[in-house]
Amino acid sequence: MAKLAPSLNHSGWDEMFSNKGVRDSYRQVFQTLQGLNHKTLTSKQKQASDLFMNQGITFTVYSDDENGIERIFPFDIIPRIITQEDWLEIESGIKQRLLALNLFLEDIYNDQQIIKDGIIPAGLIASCPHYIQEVQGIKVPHNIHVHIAGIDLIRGAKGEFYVLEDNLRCPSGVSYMLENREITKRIFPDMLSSNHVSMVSNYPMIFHSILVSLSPRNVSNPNVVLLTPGVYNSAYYEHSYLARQMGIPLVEGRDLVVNNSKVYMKTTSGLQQVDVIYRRLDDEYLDPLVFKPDSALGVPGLISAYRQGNVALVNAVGNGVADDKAIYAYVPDMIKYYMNEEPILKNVPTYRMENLDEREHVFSNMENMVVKETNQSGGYGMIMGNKATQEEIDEAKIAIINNPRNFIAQPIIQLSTVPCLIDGQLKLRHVDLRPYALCGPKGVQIVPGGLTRVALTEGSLVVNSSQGGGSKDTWIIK
Amino acid sequence: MEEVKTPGLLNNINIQKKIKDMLSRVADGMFWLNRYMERTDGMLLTLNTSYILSFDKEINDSQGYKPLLEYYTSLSKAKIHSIQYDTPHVLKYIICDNQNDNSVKNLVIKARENARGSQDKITKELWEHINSMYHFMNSPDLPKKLETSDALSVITKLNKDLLLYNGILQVTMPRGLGWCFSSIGKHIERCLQTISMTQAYFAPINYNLEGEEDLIYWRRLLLSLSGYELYLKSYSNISHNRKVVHQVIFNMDFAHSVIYTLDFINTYLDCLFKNTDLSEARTLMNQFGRLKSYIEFTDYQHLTNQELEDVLRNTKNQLIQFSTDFSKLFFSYT
Repeated sequence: MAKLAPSLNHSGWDEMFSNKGVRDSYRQVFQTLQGLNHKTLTSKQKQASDLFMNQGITFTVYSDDENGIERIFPFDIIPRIITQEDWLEIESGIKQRLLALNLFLEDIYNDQQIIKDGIIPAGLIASCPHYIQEVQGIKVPHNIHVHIAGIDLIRGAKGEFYVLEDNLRCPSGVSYMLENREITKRIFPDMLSSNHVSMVSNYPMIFHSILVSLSPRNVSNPNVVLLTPGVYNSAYYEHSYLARQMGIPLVEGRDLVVNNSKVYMKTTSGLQQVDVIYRRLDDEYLDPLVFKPDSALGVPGLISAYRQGNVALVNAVGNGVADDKAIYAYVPDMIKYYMNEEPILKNVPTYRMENLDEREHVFSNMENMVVKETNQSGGYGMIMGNKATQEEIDEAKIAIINNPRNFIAQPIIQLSTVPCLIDGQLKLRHVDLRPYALCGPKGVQIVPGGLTRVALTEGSLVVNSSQGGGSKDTWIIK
Repeated sequence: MEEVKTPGLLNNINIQKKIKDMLSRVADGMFWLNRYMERTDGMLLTLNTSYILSFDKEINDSQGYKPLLEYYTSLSKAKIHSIQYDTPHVLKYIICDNQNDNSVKNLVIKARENARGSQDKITKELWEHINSMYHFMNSPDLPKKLETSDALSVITKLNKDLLLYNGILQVTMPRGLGWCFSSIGKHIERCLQTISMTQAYFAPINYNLEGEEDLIYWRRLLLSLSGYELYLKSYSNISHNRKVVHQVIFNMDFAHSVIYTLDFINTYLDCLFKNTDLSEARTLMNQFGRLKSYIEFTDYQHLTNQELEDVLRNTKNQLIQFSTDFSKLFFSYT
């Protein structure tokens, strides 16, 4: 039998264990795990890794040798469980947040009433690198700018949820949410069915119906495509997976051409007009005539076709202004301003480095702060005050003074922990949660689940896959 | 022209029509995926045949691995001459040498690249199989295995993997446009292999149709083309040269014969051209029709040595030209 009682997490929230023992939601899972020995658990872990490898759910690490090495994203077989009560709070909180963010984007690219009313400073928007002047005044179908969002949530010491980040541009990882569940079905079929876990496999169908509903042409079968940077992109597996699941063509920029402000794809029987593009390219690569002129990934003339309403882009162009880390601090104000409601989900307290008082407070408490660059993601451009050397802290302070708009600071929150199978034993590791919300003409829908990311290094709070993180299947139990 | 919303049956017709369109890049990917896999299959069969027959030391083998190396690699004549009997060297060079563009390893890598680019049009089962072959070819201990008595088991496993690939292709892939491009690519490659290997065995005997080469001589060619058993069942056991020509070029029952593969290509070309309004399609169809007729109306009974040489050379050249023109018509997406 495996050693199933890891050292408890006294300083924070553990998802499986409280001070009184195993939480109710985990009781069945714990009992099942207790009945398995080290060898069985390790062999299930290996089985999961082999399944990922054989299905090509890998990314390539290139070294001096010209041939890359294929690696899988680590998957931990112990599921992360969220109760129905917690899920309802998450679901309503994300819906509220997404509605407000969509209203903000519609406002900011049109009347800018929120600036005129003094809620958000104009300078903050103007200085945001992801605010796209080229789409100012644009009208998007159904006024929806954010069709898919991956909102990152963390849990504080008392189990309360915080929003850590709003990913509103090209949120990735949804294929792992879906594949993790498929793997769990194979390795823990009984445990899965006896826990009454909510289904996530309908995600591609919901998303596809939203994509179809956005077609600017009134046709019975609009052409919907998924635009990928290509086979060498680290998320290519996800792109091909989603295209296959939705039954839509997976196109690259070179497959598309713009003529007379309409987008066409090059097929074996000639050009076919494209109506909706689910793009997995960042804004700056979409159209070399508007953004990076040296980029070969995009489609010349695409933004012109988009501005004229001949093609819908999902997500809309310019969403980065809403998930900028400095503007994140204003999301609670947006909710109050647009919806006259109190935010259901809290923000992590955020200090703006342009504000001298807040900066002073951060500088005198650096060991308790995490400093983030506002235009970075994926765990890059981040300094953890409790891990950084004095030299790194001094360098960060100089960088902040030189360009305060480029930084925010947040108190270090001890993310919640979940037991993970590491070296044949259960050990506590920190996790976050990324549920995927879909927004269409009929409202916001969130499949009950999400991607739980795990910081596999002991004590680490960085869960990003680019920084050595892994993932877990996430169960919402009824 | 814009489509208009239509209810009921007409709606279904619209849906069906959409399936008949395919991205040129993806069609190109599926065409080359199957050319690479067919080339790998043919090369491994030839390697397997030569390797196993190399154990029969009493046989007067004047060629060794020469036919394999001449067709499937770009090595110089001098280099081929120096290694044509060097089994360990040939095994490594053909199976896993990174410098050999046509090694099994590099062909599988290229096939997988094409499969990745067409991943939304090939089935999960097919992708997973290609992917598992890729991982096997990249396993670090593979070159070492080829130096030991495990070499034969490696070749056998790879042969079975290719058989399995063909089975998965047949059983799981939908019969749409992608299937047409896949099948045409596969059979162009197969036809070129059959012609080239036939040339490799007839050239040393000056295309002598009345020669007295025995079955031991022809066994290599026939085994390399998976046609040995069929030959034994179909032809009497004397004066083989002309009968071998019949089997590999004119026998409609032999899946690797030139006429069979051309007929197969013709079937799928018909299917493609039914679904296209491209004006150049007619020209390409005529071009292929002339090529197929050339074989169909060659008088096998009165074929001379010179005519055999001409038929093989001309058919090969015309097929290469057809493949180029076919690619220009359907895949010119850049």
